[in-house]
Formats: sequence, structure tokens, C-alpha cells
Amino acid sequence: MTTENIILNPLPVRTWNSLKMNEVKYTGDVPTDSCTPEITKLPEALKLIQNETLDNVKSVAGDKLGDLLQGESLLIESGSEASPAVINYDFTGGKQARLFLHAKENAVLPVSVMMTGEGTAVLEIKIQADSGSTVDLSVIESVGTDSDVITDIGCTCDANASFNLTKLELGGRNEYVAVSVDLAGEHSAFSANSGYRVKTNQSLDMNYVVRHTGRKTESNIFASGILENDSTKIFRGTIDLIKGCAGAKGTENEDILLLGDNQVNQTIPLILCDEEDVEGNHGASIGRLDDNIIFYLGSRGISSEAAEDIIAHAKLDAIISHIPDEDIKTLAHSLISPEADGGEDA
Amino acid sequence: MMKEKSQVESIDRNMYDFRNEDTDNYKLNAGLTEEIVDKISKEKNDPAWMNLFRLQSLQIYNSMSVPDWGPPIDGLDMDNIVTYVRPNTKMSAKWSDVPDEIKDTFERLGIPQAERKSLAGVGAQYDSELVYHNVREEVAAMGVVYTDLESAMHGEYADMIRSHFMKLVKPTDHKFAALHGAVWSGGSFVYVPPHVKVEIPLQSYFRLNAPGAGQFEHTLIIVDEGADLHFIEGCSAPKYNVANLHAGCVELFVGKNARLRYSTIENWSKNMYNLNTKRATVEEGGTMEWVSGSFGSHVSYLYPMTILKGKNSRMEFTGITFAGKGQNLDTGAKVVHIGENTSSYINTKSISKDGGISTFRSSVIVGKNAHKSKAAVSCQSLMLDDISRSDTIPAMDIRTGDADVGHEARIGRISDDAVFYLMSRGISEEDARAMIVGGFADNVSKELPLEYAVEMNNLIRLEMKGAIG
Amino acid sequence: MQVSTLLEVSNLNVSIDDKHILHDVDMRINEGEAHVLMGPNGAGKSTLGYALMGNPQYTVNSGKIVFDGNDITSESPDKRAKAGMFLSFQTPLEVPGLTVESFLRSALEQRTGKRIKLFDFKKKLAAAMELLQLDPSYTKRDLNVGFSGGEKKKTEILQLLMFRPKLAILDETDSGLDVDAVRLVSQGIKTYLEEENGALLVITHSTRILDAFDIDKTHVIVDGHIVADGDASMVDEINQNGYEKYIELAGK
Repeated sequence: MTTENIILNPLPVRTWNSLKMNEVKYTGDVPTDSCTPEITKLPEALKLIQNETLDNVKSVAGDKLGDLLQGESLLIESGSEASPAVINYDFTGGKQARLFLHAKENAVLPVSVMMTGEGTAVLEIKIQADSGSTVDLSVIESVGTDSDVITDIGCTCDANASFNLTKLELGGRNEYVAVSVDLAGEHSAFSANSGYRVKTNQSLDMNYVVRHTGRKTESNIFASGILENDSTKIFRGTIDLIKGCAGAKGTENEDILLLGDNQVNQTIPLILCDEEDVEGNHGASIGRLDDNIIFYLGSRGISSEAAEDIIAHAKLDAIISHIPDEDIKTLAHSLISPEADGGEDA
Repeated sequence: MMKEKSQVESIDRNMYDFRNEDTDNYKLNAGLTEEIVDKISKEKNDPAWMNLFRLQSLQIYNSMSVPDWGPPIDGLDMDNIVTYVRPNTKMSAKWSDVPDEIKDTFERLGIPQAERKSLAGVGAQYDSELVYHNVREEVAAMGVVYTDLESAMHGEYADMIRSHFMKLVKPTDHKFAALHGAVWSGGSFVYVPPHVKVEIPLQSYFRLNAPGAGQFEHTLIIVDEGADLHFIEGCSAPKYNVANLHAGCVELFVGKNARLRYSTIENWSKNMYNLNTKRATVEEGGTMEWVSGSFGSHVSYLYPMTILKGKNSRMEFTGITFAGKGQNLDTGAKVVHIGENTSSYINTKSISKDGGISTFRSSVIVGKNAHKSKAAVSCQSLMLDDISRSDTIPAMDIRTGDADVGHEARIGRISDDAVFYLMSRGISEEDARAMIVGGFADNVSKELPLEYAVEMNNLIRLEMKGAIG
Repeated sequence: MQVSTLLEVSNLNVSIDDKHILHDVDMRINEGEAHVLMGPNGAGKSTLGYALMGNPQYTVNSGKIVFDGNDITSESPDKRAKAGMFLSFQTPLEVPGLTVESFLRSALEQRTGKRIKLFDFKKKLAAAMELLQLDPSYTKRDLNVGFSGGEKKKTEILQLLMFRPKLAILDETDSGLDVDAVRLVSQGIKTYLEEENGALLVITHSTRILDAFDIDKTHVIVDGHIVADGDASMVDEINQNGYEKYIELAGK
């Protein structure tokens, strides 16, 4: 285990340094031990290959992190079947893990990844989506709340391929998420649904970068979360509309519910554009629960605290509904409301 | 089509591109040293504190590096910038006393005409010195002071200037603010006494005539409690082959329940590095309104900043940026919410064309104690062809739970349907596109006094000529 | 059968943004009674509904609201709801991200303080939806988001049927509805009255919805004053003659 001082999540185009949003300095450990994946579901059609990697997929986690990720790896290649693979990584003691996904032409590759345990967790996922394929990836992070977590996801999409990412951040102390997507082939698409609940004294640092190079490519990033008292969050989201991507569309939306006070809530949504025939949109809404909604729900017997909780759950529920695997979906539900489990049919 | 295009380009800026022979008899050596700064200070008959301030700023300047973000400024070689140029004239309060050559320049720019069109006062800066200054008598009678900053430093407002000068924009802010602190020259001082409402706008005009020169004017405006002012600033320069530098500084103090509107139409020539710093602070219940049109310059870094200090204070920023060939315009706005129940609205449009690069950059900071504050940012960009570039870099940092913050950004192109619709009504494609762009820019034009709105629309029309082909 | 008082409003004065709207309002509603509150636009009808439900935007300057034997004048809206009061909103709020079903379940659990059995809940919901002729897919939609005017009003009545309050205050529930929708909404209200022996305060300026059930009492409000109380015949009388007479009364 090495203690590192590395730059993570750099913004593709810098802005005022005084804002302290250009990048983040990571001063924790980057574990060298490899984490053994526990494969709880593996449809027959999928092929597992140990220690093989995909080298051409970019990362936006920062230059140095890649050098530190040299441990064991697992590559999953798609078959014809569309039922999900489920992999659990237990990072107890501080581990790194590397997962590679390769969806072959016209294949469907659904994968759910659970991140659990206590200890520094570093997970790299690299994806190659060949033409016409679909990759449905859900990553649910519920690592212990004393742990630092780094997730580095990268994907390249060929023509007509789509990459759908569902990301839930529920645990961790300081959490870093980098998502890099190359929409290289025409008509390729990326959609991300990110849900988070950042609790007191926790921090979440995100860097999403989508590069549209193919014609008529589409991206849609939706980040929806809850910030509790004394929590910190930064969302960096970049839609890069590169020359030649005529007809491309990129959208990013953020919806943040503030519960309590003293949050640090930073957002920097970049749209970079050097192609004429494109559309780029960003919207953000940040605030507390509307007084009128509190009164409306109150008039139905719901206290304002409960109303906040209900809305917070509803936000995460909406994200969870995108998870492809039913068991994981149920598990995710139980993770966001542990007090409610088992109560359904009692 | 090509022929028409080049023809259009050559007449394009004709109105602004005339230049006078560089006859200034006084020009400092290129480069910036303590001797030069001292010399400027002596020439200006600075009070002792100002002399010291300049030298301290020079030290800060030498210790700071250029920004590591934003458009490249490699073309700017400070060692070759003549920092101080002064025309052959003294300040004048009568138009007839202004030398013919300079007068001719301003006549052609329409300054006295504009004044005759009932502007409350005009200050015109030619290179580094203020050459013409006049406040209409009735405005002066209300107690409004509009004068050049240098002479004001020695008059009855000396203490007021000393206690405000570069207190809002400190020389330590960035390298070009430090440069400004060291070599600033000329500019205006405006003071509006409590509860005085100036009904007609005050206006100043900056023009840079010498090649390879710098313009470093300082504008200091204090609008006292309950007072109201509209100040208009226009800038232009002819084109030379060497880079020019504009590192002005604008400091605005908006008092309790006061209102200040600051409008700018900037049309510097396209070899200008425009590294201007503008900042306002607003007390309780006060209102700051910015209206900003950026059309000229080779490179711009321009982000007027507003500090909403007092509770219930508010600001509105309305801007348009048009980046054509060879231009890299990085513009936007900054706002810091400190007081409770403050509100801000930033509404910008940007257009890029012929390989121009326009970047919208903003920062919205809502502090811990700015409870119940509201901030909204809306930026729209229009790409007119596929060789241009348009970036949007909006940052938000929200530190209170009960703020209401919204943001929307959109990048797009002129809709073919809209062009077709207008053309089907008998309008040429070029005119149709110009009309659509003009409509796109109407957030700014409708905020400007008529003659400026007309000037702005003419600029857009000129820029749009030859857009097809 | 002994008649007991459910709602007792006395001397109620209410303002919003320092504007005094309701003046010395008195009203008493007994268990199981159906009351109508009528009055011209801007008279303060909706204000009374909001004030009874405890909308924090409205300030009670003086007076008292006693509900089911307890003084609730300064209680929060959710406490009033739990005590058995219900207000159908004229313009129901849209709550993106919260489905109708999970909203109803959460609200029921909050009201009762108990976990609701999913089977019972679904059965009850299905019955109520059938009554209002709402498509089952509708429970998966976000609360009021993208709903038509009629769907929003039906959702309010669906909640009435699910929550079974002691007093339902219906604010212009029939406005903007077509004939079929009015029939369904009336049916819903009737079911509530019959099955719960619920009390009703209907705020309206039309009478279509009043055909569905018997009215015990009518109140007329003008300029924030209750200017007249009467029986069901007052509704017809106002229908014929309008508010003129009452406006004069208020002017005195």
C-alpha cells in the first residue's frame, strides 16, 4: 500500500484557480493488493478471461492513477444472452480491482457491480462497445463510511453502440468518480443516471466527460442527489462536441436536494463545441424542498422531515429503476432505506 | 461571392479604422521598470501615496504569473508594450479647444453628436489622457461630480478617492490588475450624492490611437445612498499590426438602496488584448445592472464581478459577445452573494463565426450567510458555421441550504426552418440570418439607449455581411 | 344519536403578507354534516381552506380553530391531517420523482404511524381507482406531473378515498371538469360521505357538484366576512339572484 499525493478528476478546460474546482488532490492510499471478484451471477453466454485488458479506452481520473493500477484484472466478453452478470467486490483491508467489459458486435452486455467492505477501494472499469452493441452497467457503491473510494470508468462506443450507466453512491467517506466516454462511432449513445446521498462529513467528487466525435451521437447525463448537513459535493460534467460530430446532442441535468445546512455544493457543467450542427444543453436545479410541496404533503399528514425523506428516497428510487438486474434493484432499495426492509408484505 | 466577401471585410470596420499619424512627442521607452513607473507618477503629479501604490503594484506585477486558464496571450510581449502615450494636449472642457486632429477623430466617432442627443456628460479618453470632459450644467448643479480621476485626486474628493481606489480590485487580484495599479493613466471619477437621480446617462469614450500602446484608464464611480445613475462606456481603436493592450479597471460602489446601470459597447480593433477588470459592490437594497456588448478585440478576458454585500441587494447582467475571424473572446460574469435575500440574474448570448472562438465563463458563489438568496444563470450560444468554436464554462459554488439556484445553458445553430420561413416571405438568406442573429441579441439591444442599440445592430449587420458563401 | 361538534372556528382573523383577508370568521361543522362555502371571487374562500389546513404562508392574527376537541390553531399541516382533516387543492402541486403509489403509501403510513400491509393497500387502491375510472398504470406516474386538469382533481379525490378523513375541505374540486368527470368526482365524494360518515366543507362558486349529496348548511363569504348562514335553499337562491344582496350586507 502506498500513500499517494495525486491529482484526480482534472477539468478538461481550466477556469479560475481561486474556485478550487479545476481538479482535486488525493492524499490517501492507493492500495496495490488486488481484490478478488466474487461472481454471483454469470449467464452461460458470457466469457470470462483472467488478466486480459483493453488498452485503448481513455480515463479522466487523472494521468497518474492509471500507472498505479497494475493489479489482476478480469475481462468479460459478451455472448448472445441478455441476462445480467453480477459481480461483488469486497474491498476490506484496502484493495484495487480492474474490470474490463467487451461487448461484441450487436451483443447485449448487462453487468451489475457491487462495491462493499471496509477500506480504501479503487475500481477501474474499462469498456469497449463494438458496433451495434449495448452495455448496461450498474455500479452500486456501499463501501464503509470510513473509506476512500475511487471509481474510474471509461468506455469507447463504436457505431450504433450504446452505453447505459447507473451509478449509486451510498457509502464511502471521500469518494471520487471519473467517467470518460468516447462516442466515436456514428449514432452511438451514452446515458448516465447517477444518484447519491452524501451524508455529514462525507465528500463526493465527480468528473464526467463525454467526447462526441461520431455523427448523430447522443449523450444524456443525469445526476440527482441529496446533500446532508456539512457534506461536500462537486460535479464536473463536460460535453465535448468535437468537429465532425454533426447532428450530435448532449444534455446534462442536475437535481440537488439540500437537507440541512453548511453544505459545499459545487457544479461546473462544461459544454465545449466546435461543430455547428449540434445541440448542447445543461440545466441545474438546486435547493431545498419547495415550501408549497411541504405544505401539500403536510396537508396529507406527512411531516416536513418525513416529506424530505420521502422525496430523497423518491429521487434515488428513480435512479435505481434503471438497474438491469432485479435482485440488485431490490438490494439497492434496501440499501437506501435499511429501516424499511422486510416490511413490504408484513 | 468571394469577391463581395473581401470587399465587405475591407469596408467592414472602415468607420473605426481611420488612424492619425502617430505624432505624440512624448513616448516612454518600451518595457516596464521602476524608473518608468516613477516617471509616469511624476508626470502625473501623483500624491505621495499614489506614487508608493504604483511602485508596490509593480512589485506585485513582477511576482505574478499570467493565468494558466483562458485564451492564449502569447502574442502579448510586455517588454514591447509602450505603456504610456500622451497626445499633444491638455484637458479641455470646451469642444472648440480640442485639437482639430483629435476632434476630427471624435467627430467621426459621433461623440459630440451623442452628447447633443441629451447625454448628461461625455468624457473622452484619447490614448492615455482624458482630452475632453463636460458635464451638463444641470447635472453638475445637482451635485453630481464627473471629472477625470487625476485632477480629482488633488481636489475636494481626494480622500474619497484614496479610500476607494483599487480597494475593490486589488493589485494582488491578478497580474494585469497589478499592471494597472502600476501604470494606470486617465479615466473618470463619478460621484452621485445621496438621493440624486440622474435622469439621462453619463457617457465616456475610450479610444486607443497609437500602435503597440496600452490603455490603462481607471473608472471609479460612487453612487451614494438612494441615488441613481446610468453610465455608458464605449471603446474603439484602429487596427495596427502590433498588439495593443487594454488593461483598464472599473470600480463601482453602489450605496444603500441606490441603483447603477453600467453599459459598455466594446469595439476595440482586432489586434487588441482586452484584459479589463470590472467590479461592483452593492450595499443593502441596492441594484447593480450591467449591460455589456463585446464585439472587438483579438483576445478578451472580461468578467464583470458583483459583490452583493448588503441584504436584499440585487444584480442583473445582460451581455452579448460576437466573436468573428481571428477573435478569441472569453467573457462572462461573476457574482458573490454575501447578504441575505440577495438575487442575481446573468443572461448572456454569444455568437461565433468565421473561425471565431467565444467562451462564456461565469462563477456564482452563494456564501454561508446568504440565506434565501436567488441566483439564475442563462447562457445561449449560437454557432454560425463549423469552423468556429463556442465553449461554456459556468461554475457554481453554493454554501447555504436555502438558496434557490438555477442554471441553463444551450448551444445551437440558426434553425434552417426559421431561415426558410423568412426567405419564403421574400427576404434574402443573408438578411434572414442577420435578422435572426439580431433577434438573438435583443436581450442586450433592448437594454441600451436607442442610439447605442442602433450602433450595436449596425455592428451585427456588418459582422453578418458575407456570412454566406 | 348525539350530534357532536367536529370543527369549531371562532373569531378567526387571517392575513397574508400583512394583508388582512379573513375577518372574525365563525363556523361550526358537526360530524357527518355537509357544508357549502360560497362567495364571489376574491372573497377569501380559498384562504379559509388554507388557514384551516395551516398553510404557513397565511398568518392567523387572532381567533381559534378547534378540531375534534383539540385546539389546532398553531399545529403544522401534517398534524392536522393526522387528526383527520383533508384539503383538496384547487391547483394540486406537481412532485417530480414521487410516484402516486409510493406517495399514497408513505402518507398512509405517516398518518397511521404503522406499516401498511401491501396486499391491503393494493386492494384498497384498486377499488378506489376503479370507482374513479383511473387506469392502473397511473399509480406509477409521478404525482401530478403532466396530469391533465381532470386527472389532478381525480387524484385529490383518490386521496380522499384512501385517507378517509373526518372532515374534507374541497376547494373548487369541480372547476374545469367535464360532465363525466364531475359525475365520477361526485361519486367519489358520495362514497366517502356514506362509508365514513365524513363531514364536508365544499368551497365552490358553481353548484354542479352539490347535486350529488344533501347539504346541511350554507355560508356566504364576502370581503373576508361571513355575511350569512343558512340551509340548503340558500344555494338555489344565490344561483338565481347572485351575490348582490350579500355584497350589500358586507358593505354595511
